[in-house]
Amino acid sequence: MRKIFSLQSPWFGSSWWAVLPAIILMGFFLIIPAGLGLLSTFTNYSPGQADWKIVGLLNYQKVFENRTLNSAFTNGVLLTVLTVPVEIALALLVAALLRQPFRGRSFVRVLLLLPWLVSPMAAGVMWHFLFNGQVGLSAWLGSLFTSDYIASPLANPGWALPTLALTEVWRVAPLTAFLLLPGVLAVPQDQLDYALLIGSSSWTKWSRIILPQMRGLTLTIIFLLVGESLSEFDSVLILTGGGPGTRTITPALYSYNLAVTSHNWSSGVTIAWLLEGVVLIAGIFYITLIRSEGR
Amino acid sequence: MRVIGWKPVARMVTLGFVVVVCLLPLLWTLLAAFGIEPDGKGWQGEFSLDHFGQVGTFDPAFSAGFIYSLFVTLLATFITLICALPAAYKLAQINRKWVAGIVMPFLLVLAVIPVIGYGLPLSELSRRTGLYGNFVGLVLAYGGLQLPLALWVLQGYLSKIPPTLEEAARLEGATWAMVLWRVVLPIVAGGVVATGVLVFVLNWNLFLLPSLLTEHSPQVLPMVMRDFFAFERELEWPTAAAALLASLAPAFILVLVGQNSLDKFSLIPPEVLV
Repeated sequence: MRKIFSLQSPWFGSSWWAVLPAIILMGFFLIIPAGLGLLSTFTNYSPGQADWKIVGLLNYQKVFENRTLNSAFTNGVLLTVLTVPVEIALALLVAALLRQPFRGRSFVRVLLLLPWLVSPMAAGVMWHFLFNGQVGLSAWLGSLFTSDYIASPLANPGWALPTLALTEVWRVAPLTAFLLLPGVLAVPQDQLDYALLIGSSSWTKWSRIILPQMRGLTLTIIFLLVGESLSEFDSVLILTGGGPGTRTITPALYSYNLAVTSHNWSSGVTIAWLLEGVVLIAGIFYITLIRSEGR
Repeated sequence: MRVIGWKPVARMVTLGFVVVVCLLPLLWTLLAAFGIEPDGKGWQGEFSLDHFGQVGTFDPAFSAGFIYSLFVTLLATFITLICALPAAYKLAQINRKWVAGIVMPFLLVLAVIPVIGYGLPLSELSRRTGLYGNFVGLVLAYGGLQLPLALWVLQGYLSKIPPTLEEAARLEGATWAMVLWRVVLPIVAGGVVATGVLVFVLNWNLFLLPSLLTEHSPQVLPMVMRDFFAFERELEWPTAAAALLASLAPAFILVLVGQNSLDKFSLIPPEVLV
């Protein structure tokens, strides 16, 4: 039965063409640019400059001297810590509420995609106005309790980053629930019936039966969310532009500002690759965890 | 009489509350787009559709960006799927440890790595090859960007098809491509549709990649939205709200169309029973 899929199979060799289009497209538009980017961080290459030479770790040395680098990576990690656990917890709650079938469940499930359909750019415009003192939702909700003017928390140095995290949670937590739900639903009903029969609490049911069975899916989703929040760019650009000061600057935004706005290409790419390094480390963690899952 | 316990009721109330909170910002936007702006004293304004018209007069680039985005996104999504499907099928057939243990996780890592890391060099490369600011360059870059994720998801679906089915078709004399097209594709059609919808949405909302690959015009819609917001000091909330809803429409319609497939979508699909 397996034989037909083994390397000796006569038609193993015949269909290798099938992977070619994907490899070519990814190669030219993803892997080669990424590789050239990494190599260029060890040179003084710059657009519009005729010649370049290898400078070793000079670019890295230069970017580490700048204090903004520290804020950018601290903010990136803070955003991840503030958003991912909340997103997973809320998503599990919603998935738990949707576990029992009812009429209209599939509609609710698809409705969960709605906040994510709004582009980060459009969501940024929306939140800007929602936090507005005159026409905003926050002002309207505030007017129910107080007559004070409610200023946008995005302009407040202490609140800007948590507010940014909140808008991200709004956009991504429902999507997370959409992605987690199949894992919850895949748990065989007879196992849950048995748990009910022996009088297990809901807590035991979740911690001993449901969650262990969806570990692989949850790990994968956590990795996707961590990657997404570490590389946060669009919504920060439009909501705060990295401010007040550097309170909400993220690694991707800092890199973009240097490379595109300040024409400091090598520093920009170097920071981008420090960010890639962080994501790759998260990736290695993920691969290790998911491989231990299989055994 | 049927007795309803308090638990299901509590569950529905909580669920209703969560859904309302989740949709509240969009409802607020919907009201504003139709000209209704509640404040502390009550519901202000009158229902009108004028604000949707104002989007076009306020920024003529909006409709151009909308149409350009639609072409780029549809074509790129199609290219991603057409490249991903045979490759994912091939990967699903190679029943080896290194596929599940190395190739697939590596693809997921590729799907997650931040765009900025290869976007900056890609911008340089496309300037040198004449693909900068160019429709073809943009479509191919979008297509390549979403390929790892599409490959990963589709491989999940395709690896759950029992090999006996393909064997039977092979014995009847079908070629590899025919098996994929006639036997396998109908089984995973729902998964392919759902993946297509999700890739469309991701493409439709991309901002960083197109802004690294194009300068002024033609611009994709998220770039227009950004300029709209950043440079037009006179921008009023109802106009912005109408623009937001208009930009949401294609993704929303597609999700409604693909509702049945999306409802069954899973990153880790179950086994196919034949």
